[in-house]
Amino acid sequence: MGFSRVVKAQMTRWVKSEFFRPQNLIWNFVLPLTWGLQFYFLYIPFQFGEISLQFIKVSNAQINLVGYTLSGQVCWMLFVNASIFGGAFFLRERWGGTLEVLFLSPASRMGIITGTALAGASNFLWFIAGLVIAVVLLNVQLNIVSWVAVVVSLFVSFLVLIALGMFFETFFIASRLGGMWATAIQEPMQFLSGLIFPIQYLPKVLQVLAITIPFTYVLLIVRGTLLGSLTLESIVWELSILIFMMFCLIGLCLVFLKCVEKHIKRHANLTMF
Amino acid sequence: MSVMVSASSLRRVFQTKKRTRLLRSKKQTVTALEDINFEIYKGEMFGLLGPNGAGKTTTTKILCTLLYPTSGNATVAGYDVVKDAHKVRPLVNMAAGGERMLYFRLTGRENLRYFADLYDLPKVGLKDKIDELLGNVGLLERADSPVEQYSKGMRQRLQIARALLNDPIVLFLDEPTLGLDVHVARELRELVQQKVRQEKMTVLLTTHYLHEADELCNRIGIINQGQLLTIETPINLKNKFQINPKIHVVVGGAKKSQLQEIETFPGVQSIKIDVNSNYKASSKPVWDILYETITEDQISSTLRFLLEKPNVQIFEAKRHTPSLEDVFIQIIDQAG
Repeated sequence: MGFSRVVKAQMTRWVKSEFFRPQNLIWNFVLPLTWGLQFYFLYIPFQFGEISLQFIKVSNAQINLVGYTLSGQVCWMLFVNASIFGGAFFLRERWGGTLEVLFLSPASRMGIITGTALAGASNFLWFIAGLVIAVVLLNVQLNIVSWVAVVVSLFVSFLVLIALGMFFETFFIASRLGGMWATAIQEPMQFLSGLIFPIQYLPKVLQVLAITIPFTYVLLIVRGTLLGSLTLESIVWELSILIFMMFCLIGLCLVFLKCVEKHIKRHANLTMF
Repeated sequence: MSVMVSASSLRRVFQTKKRTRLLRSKKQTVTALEDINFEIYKGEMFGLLGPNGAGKTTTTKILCTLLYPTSGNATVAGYDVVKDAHKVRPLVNMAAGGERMLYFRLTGRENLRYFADLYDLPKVGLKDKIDELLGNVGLLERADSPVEQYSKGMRQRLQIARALLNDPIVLFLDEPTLGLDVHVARELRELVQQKVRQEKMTVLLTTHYLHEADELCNRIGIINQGQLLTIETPINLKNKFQINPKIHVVVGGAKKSQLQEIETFPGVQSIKIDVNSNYKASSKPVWDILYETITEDQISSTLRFLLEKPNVQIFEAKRHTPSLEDVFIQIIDQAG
């Protein structure tokens, strides 16, 4: 019932009640600073190697490590806001008893999930504001040859990360431990995607695991187009994989949401106690 | 009369875990509802009474599609609450006690607007409808203040407004006046009564406040340990479970030996000092003599005995009519 209206309502509520909370500012200004430093220093030992995966090879010699860290952080913060926030969001709904009202209403469940992912992603605007300041202060050198490639890669990345957020939120909404799971997926995601550790140094088994994660491709195309002079033609394969993954994630969301609602009603876990 | 809500052989079992050792736990089964059967008719206000953990909230949640029953059937407006849940949801709403189900950082008006979007209510005239509801619950002046600045009573009133937003044909009220002061509770009761009268709304009310059910409900079901013990109108309930009339005689100035003698009279159940008495008997205490299962002859003989004693003053003799509370306690005690 009224998918777009539910999405809009969910986003509006988020902006009105959460967007200007001090917690959000800390989450999007202070935490990224410490994360950024952590990513930077973790990457220093590897910066003379070659950053590559099966599909892309980018010579590291041209890449500015600060820019590399910051572009990775852009993707990470979008992922965190679109995905991880949902865990905390639904945890609060459980505490407040409002999750029951959501499920009591005839509102589109997909609309609720999508609205939550998009609402969480709206937090990302705070980070972008901070990022612009950081880019100016740190005098980051970008190496862009195709603005079209940059725009397309950022747009597809945004859609995929929203879809990934929706996928995770389907599970967060079903569990009282959603908040904990949201925290628990962060470390493996950082480790396996190449955010803090070059994938080529991982054991083969983990490399295989890494290429199944959408976030890995997001990092590759965003970093590649912003810093590695990649054109649209050179990232077509990665873009195709990401778009395929996005549709798979949305399809899975639709299937799982029905199972999740049954699970919730069977196990009576809409409230915290 | 058409049946609006029905429950047939409704059963709900919860699986819980009890930790037995550090890393071990044992599964436990808790039966919240056992073979519940009842029907609520259109425009009726049906009360579900029971002690804590009796299964009132579980019944309500099953009927408004928030929970699956383990077995049995339930329908609302003719739709099965499990198979046709999507058809039931637009027709029902629920308000619960205890300051929940609202977004505290939004204003009262924003809350209603958000829930109106979830119910996909027509946008034309929505603002007026929200204002009218806020006016009905007396919150129009504070409509643009965040809910976190509302008092408990105001939050509860806003919750009722939220529950009425989609003009439900069946309204579930789960302890709606929990923790509210007498004045606010009365206002809410009047509001609900008014809605039921005007819009022929069907209401299922669960409450601990027996006077509330007595005042509002056409019929009352008493539930205990997941079993529905009886369904009756409040008057029939009191007549059916006839409790022996009790008579209180308040006296002053009586000596201890006289009281001991009265204690042996037939029908006298207890003699207590009435510490809250408005009567004064010099420096001596005021006594409350409680008689039960008493005939007119018996009471007149004891009263005559008291009147013959010059030192004893009879302040008051009053008949105590059994309340719904007395009936409730008797039914629950009988059920064990």
